[in-house]
Amino acid sequence: MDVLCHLIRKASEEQLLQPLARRALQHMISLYADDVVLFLRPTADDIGITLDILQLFGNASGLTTNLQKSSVLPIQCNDFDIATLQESLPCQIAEFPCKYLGVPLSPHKLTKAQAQPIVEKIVDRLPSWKAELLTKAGRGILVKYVLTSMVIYIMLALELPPGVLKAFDNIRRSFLWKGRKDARGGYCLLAWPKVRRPVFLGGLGISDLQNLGWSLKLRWLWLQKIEPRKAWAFFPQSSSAPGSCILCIGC
Amino acid sequence: MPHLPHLYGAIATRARKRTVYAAITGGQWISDIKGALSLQVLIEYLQLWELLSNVELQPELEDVHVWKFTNSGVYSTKSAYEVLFIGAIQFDPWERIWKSWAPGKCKFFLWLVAHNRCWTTDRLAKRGLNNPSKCPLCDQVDETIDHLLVSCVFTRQFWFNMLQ
Repeated sequence: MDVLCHLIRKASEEQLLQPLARRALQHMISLYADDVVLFLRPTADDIGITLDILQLFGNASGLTTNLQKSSVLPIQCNDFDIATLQESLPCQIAEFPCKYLGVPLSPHKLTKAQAQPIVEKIVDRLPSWKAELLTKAGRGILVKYVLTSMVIYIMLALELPPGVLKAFDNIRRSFLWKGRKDARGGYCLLAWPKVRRPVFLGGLGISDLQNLGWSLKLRWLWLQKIEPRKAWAFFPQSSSAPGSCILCIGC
Repeated sequence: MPHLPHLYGAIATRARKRTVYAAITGGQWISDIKGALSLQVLIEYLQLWELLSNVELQPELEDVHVWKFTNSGVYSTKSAYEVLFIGAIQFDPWERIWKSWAPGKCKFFLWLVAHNRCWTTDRLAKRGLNNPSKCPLCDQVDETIDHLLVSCVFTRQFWFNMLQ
């Protein structure tokens, strides 16, 4: 995969690919695990060259790109750009949020509807646990260590809307007291804000999602100070370059 | 570093942007203090003077960032999360409940007891659910959680035998 990165970089150095923005924005490719994101200018030349590079790389390494599985996401493109994209790229044009490394990416904050899949993923876990056979203490452990930690990965990268946090709280509370995903007030013996405090403050030690989100995202500020040269140091300030598009490749 | 709000207030706005290095060299921070000095400012001035008297800068060393809420000085999410609860009221029996070797369900029960959240008749009666209100063990006193677990005659005998 390193080779692909170098090929793309080489192409942009030789000015075969047009720069994304007037500012020095060199990050044209992002490779982690099995997901690839390419940032391109939506011109026929650029797309042709990129497809050639991918073809070359595929022939040499055997890692061929399946364009049917890839998708294009236009960022600030006009109708003309989109027409070019449709002509020269055989993959479908998708809309944000797109899933990259399991995180729904979007230039804007996620809306509640867009975050619904995350909530459902957690709800799906509940039926497989034999909740009615567990004690409240056992369910408390499941809530504390499984349900809560499922959102940590997402919360590290994204700010979830408050409605979604509320939905998470509802699920966790109902599961703790009743073992179901919806329980009404009567079953809940102690008010939820008290339950989710740390144990030494009289709670069960279940995390408060808002505070947890803050402390998880604070790490980005820390990393900015500690390792200012890494790509993530520019993370919060970076804005999407006008008139570019993302080519998401699923391998 | 202690808080020195009065002294900070007496410093000219422009001088607040000085780096530590610029402020310490040649005692620059002293001449930055402007205006009439109140008693508070003087006290804080002396405090800071005492603190800085032993400080010596080492210009050849690189600056490092330190996160002051962990011992190692490296950021951790856990420490940041706990910082958000600073100043909250402590729950005294937490160690006796959660650090014991009792099974989880017993600890959970004791936690509910500590919060007075068990459905004893006194709490049921408040909600209009009428059960026989006397303690089923001694039939003399109203059933409350304190009575059931501590002060009932039967319970006291039980604890006595247990702890013998």
